[in-house]
Amino acid sequence: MAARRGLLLRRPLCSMATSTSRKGKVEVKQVRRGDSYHDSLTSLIQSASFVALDAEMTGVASTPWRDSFEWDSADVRFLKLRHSASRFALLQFGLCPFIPQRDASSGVVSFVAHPHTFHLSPSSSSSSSEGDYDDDDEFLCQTSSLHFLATHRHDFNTSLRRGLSYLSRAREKAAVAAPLLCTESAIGFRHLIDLLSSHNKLIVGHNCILDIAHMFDKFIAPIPSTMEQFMKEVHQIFPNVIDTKHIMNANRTVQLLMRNKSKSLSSAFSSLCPTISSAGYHRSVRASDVNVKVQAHDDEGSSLFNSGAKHEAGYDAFMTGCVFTQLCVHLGITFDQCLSDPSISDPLQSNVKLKPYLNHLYPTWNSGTVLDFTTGTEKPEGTYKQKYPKVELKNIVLIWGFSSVLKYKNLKGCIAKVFGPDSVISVFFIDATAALIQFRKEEFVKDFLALKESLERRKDDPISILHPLSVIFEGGNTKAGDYNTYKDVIACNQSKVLFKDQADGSGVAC
Amino acid sequence: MSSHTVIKQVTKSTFTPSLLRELKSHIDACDFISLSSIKTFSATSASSWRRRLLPFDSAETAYLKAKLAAESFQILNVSICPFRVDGSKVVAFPYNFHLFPREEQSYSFSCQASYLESLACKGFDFNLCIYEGISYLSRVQESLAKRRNATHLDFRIFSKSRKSVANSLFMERIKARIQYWRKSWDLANSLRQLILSTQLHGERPCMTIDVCSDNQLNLVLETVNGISDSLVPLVVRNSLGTPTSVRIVFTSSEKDKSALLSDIDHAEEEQNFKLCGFREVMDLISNSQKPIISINCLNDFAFFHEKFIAPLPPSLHEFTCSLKMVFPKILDLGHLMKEIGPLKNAKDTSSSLNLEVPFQADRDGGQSNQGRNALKIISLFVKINYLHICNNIEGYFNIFHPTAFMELESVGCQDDTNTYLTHQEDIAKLGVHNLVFLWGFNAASNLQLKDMLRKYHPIFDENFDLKIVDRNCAAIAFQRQGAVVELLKELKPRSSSIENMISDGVRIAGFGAYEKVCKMGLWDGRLADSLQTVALSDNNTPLLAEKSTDICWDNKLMLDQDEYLKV
Repeated sequence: MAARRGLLLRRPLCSMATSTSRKGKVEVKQVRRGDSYHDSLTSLIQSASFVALDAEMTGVASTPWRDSFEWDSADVRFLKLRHSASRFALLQFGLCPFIPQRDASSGVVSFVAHPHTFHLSPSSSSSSSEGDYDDDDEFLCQTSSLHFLATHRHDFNTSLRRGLSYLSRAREKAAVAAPLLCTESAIGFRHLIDLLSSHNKLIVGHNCILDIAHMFDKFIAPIPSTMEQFMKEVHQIFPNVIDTKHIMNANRTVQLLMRNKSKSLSSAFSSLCPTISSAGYHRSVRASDVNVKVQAHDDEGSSLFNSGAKHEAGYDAFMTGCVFTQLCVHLGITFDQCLSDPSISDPLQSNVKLKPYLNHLYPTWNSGTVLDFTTGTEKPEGTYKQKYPKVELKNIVLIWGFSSVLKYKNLKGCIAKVFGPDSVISVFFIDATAALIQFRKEEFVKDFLALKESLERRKDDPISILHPLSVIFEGGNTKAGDYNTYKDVIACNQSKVLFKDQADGSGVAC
Repeated sequence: MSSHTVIKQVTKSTFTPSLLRELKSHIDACDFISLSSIKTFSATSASSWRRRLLPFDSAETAYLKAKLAAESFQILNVSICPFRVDGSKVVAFPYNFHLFPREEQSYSFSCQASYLESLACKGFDFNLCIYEGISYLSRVQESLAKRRNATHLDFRIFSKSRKSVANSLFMERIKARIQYWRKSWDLANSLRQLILSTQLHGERPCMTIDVCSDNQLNLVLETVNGISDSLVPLVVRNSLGTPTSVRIVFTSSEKDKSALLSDIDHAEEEQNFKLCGFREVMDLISNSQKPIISINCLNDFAFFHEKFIAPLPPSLHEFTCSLKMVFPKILDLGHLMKEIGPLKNAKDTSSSLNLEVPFQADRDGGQSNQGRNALKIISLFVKINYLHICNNIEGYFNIFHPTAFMELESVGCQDDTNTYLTHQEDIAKLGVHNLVFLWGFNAASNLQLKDMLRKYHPIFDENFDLKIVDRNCAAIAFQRQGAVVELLKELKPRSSSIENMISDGVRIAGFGAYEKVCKMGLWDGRLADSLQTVALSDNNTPLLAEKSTDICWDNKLMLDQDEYLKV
């Protein structure tokens, strides 16, 4: 079939390796179905000091209310994370082993990076083997995410035509009974993940909790139902994970260094690694800079290399690794150990200066807490600069289904008439159909819900009609609950666009 | 049809008012329009019971499934082909529109991964769709959006305000301001003419009056209209659609005023064209009132309704009524084929379709095969007409029968259309009253289950067909009318054979249970669990079907490969 290709859409498949265009460009190996990568990458991973990774997915939140909010408790954030990782698909997975080497002349340790972009087939996305959910052939796309990837010239055809399929451990186990499902190549890619795990490799990601969740869901098994269990199981499989975003937020030296600078991956890369990111290719300018070279050629000859670009998984993994080496310098870590003592198999992860950051992941929302995977707990992180005041969850009431003209002012005003002028601390609109109201006192929550019930019971009685709160309950479709109700709605499987419809359909008590 | 036929591929950059005019001229000159779409899922290749059209689906349950699908999935391509029959020749103008929603239109959507990959392997260009797809708004979304960005010319409709002292005072003040401004502008203008000795043209003078309520808006508009015909008030609104001010434009003559109004109309049309996007094409088809020929209409038109008209209503009847207002004549080839029965002589006919497509190939020589389905539909339609002269085609309009036959995708050439036509032979026409649902059993295969059932009850010695839906759930179709009623009668009070089944955990219910599952939207999980929920809530009543409707029981269709593997 002679399908017309999008004329302006396709990324050039061959990188132009001329001397001028190579300046500042990073060659990223492209791995698709049928490409060989396994043996070469296996040995690279084995000799790497650490492996950086990144994932590109089809979306993050299926509805506006499934985005992370300031008022989400740790439980709610986990529910949202779990939903996201289990419903959206991976399009690309980036792996970049960093191999230490000693510069012959200066004697300084530098790294050779080998960025790989794996194009993945979304059809093998779900890991639900003995499904609590039946549609393992379905995945979600967030429209804005696809538009975003399109602006970065993502090639969707490659994922769908030549994406690698893979099989999670749980599925492989289940497939023993039905061997038809289990193809060699399907397990092939997963084995790389197993290799990372079995060698206890130091894994480095940037703001990587969602990437880790996807990795777990796609390559290991369905994500367990509690955060503690999830962290425990992740820790068993990947015992050494570094989140560069956590280091940037938790270390005072780095905080000072990056003051007023964006901590997004590409900004961090250009501010921390100017010599790599800009044209000063390969050459270290500042004494403190770690030299990172990119190995663009391999023995297999036939491999395809692309000039890396932002939001391509392999290139993002490369940037993450570079940022990590530079952060190590700021933490006072030298890489001599990586080469000098071959008896230490894990020189970086056993480094005392890195240890406090090991297995500490930045949560999906800056809640002043950090996820400690070693202990399986979410704990306060004093050094995080917290943007928002602490929220008292037990002082919160959830209301939904109210009139669309109801605004913050009327809401606060009519509650103040009943509970006193300072009774409402703040109101958070989840979307146009639902809001969380934070009261000053916990007992107001109970009073509010009781009042609602009694007003509804005496619907047509003049006292009810004239009651200040009747503004909220006008129309008879307004429902309310406490913070647990909010959690129950989020825990529901469906994804109705409006919170109101989700809540009504989920059958929560109200 | 040759594979070199040119199909006009339309993307964001080529979707222009002039293309629309061209399409309109083709539509005006055509007899029929064939229509087909590609979505992010396919009801015939999906595996789960809630997605797949099953042989025991009635039109109602098939609609409820189509509704669920239309709410979850996306349309990627719509191929539209106006055509006319010229004696033995068919002249067709095939268009293929690539669509992709904006975030406001669809926040997220589902995809059936295996189906997308099969599309990709056949050459479907997803990059073209996502990068260059035309967006769209449904009619309901458009009216919501219009309320938000209400247009300037709203002043044409406004209610007369109440006369009150406050209102009169406000109007007097506004009137004075406008008149003062006009005078000073006249003065300034004559000064300008004096100094520059040129006239001002092109730009028109205007002034802005802030308003803070609908009442004030009305008063300003009334005042302006009362002063002079040369003043044109334009309402300025914020992003929420609330009026914030009135811009009063001073036109120099009657001619100038109508020029301004037509400019505004034009600008609004352009904005609308961009806003409605592909919906404009659907409006063209709708306005033409031409008969639409399609296949799998229930699914396709559920999508069209959801994406281009309004959210889908809760029942099939409401859906067909609503759809009829927009598309008065739809012919479902699936229904037509079912009505006229298998065309046994289809294999013998060697006549090939004389199809003429007057489109020229692109300059770059690039041709795309995407959007051939609309042409395949024409081929099928012409062939049916050739083999079976339908005297009264109108009689087949607007009946959507669920058809779970082959995908159009697999109709590659002439021979395949023949298979398509003769496939009808395998379809048994049964009613929902011939069906019972069975779940909770523990059998490894179809045969084993049949044996088991015979031991439970003598009725299973009769002629029946059984299909395993998913694990632990099966649908049974009895040949004999009345068999189902006899069997289900024994549920209350329980007969000893039913008691035996139930004590083994095997449950049984009529089609009503399945209908209820679909109506209540118990789509999650396995069918057995949903049936159990319904059966429990109805205290194990027989749950017979509410009304008698036909189904197409395809004897050859296998639902679960495993059921035949494990013997």
